[in-house]
Amino acid sequence: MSDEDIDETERREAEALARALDRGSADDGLPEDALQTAALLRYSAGGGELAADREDALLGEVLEAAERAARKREVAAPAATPWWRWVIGFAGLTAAIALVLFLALGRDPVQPTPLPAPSASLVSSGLGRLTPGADEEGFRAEMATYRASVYGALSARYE
Amino acid sequence: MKLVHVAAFLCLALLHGCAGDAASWIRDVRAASAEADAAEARGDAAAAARALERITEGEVPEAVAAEDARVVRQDAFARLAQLRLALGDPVAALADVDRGLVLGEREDLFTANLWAMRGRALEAAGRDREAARDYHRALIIHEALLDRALGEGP
Repeated sequence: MSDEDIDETERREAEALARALDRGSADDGLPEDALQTAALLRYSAGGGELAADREDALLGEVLEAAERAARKREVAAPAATPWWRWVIGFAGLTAAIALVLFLALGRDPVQPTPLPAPSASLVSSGLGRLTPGADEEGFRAEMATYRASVYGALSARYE
Repeated sequence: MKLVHVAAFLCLALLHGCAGDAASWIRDVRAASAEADAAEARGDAAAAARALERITEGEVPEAVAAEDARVVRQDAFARLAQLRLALGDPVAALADVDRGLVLGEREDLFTANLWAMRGRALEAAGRDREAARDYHRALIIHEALLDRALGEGP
């Protein structure tokens, strides 16, 4: 591209850019892309640093934004449960299971009722039944008497 | 405080309920046994068997000791087996005896009676050798009981 190739419009834009760089402000005739270029050039010419008051203002805004973000995180995700809470929960659960097992399995079985012993006469009659021609009716009568005494002992306990 | 009163009332009601079940059970057992006696006296073996089955099949409350229930039911099974034999049914008699023995074998008159009835049922079924073995089991228990009754046993 040579000087002869530059038309009048391009020459005007170049002059406006030069003035903007010198003055720090742009004329209305400066296109947007030229304006951005001028801003970048001025910023880099100043070492890319912000003014101290602008830095303080930005720092305040950044800190506030960080606090807001932290609060949002706390609300969205509750803090992790401490390990000792798990220990206490586990111990409580174990104690509850042990109590249930103790009540269900550790209960004493119901003790049998002390029953009257059969008389020697009844046992002899029972022995006699094991041989042919035994006195069946005699045994049944004695057994009925013994049964009544057994039922009596059970009634005395349960009724 | 009111909660404590309610809990105490429920515990008492529970205890009373358990005791009530056991009392009802022994009353039913005695009534069924008496009914069986009366039926046998009038020669109605089938009615006697039905009455005894109320004892063998009836539910036993938890408040009743297992050993007490065993004694009562084994006695009823032995009586049932005797009725079956009288009705000419040794197979049913054997089944009743075996159901009674499943409840537990002890060195007492009720278990001994079951072994004696098993011997009779097997003898009636023509199984003499097995019958002799069961008679022998009944004999051993009876001898131990007799020794105890005479003050010679443990």
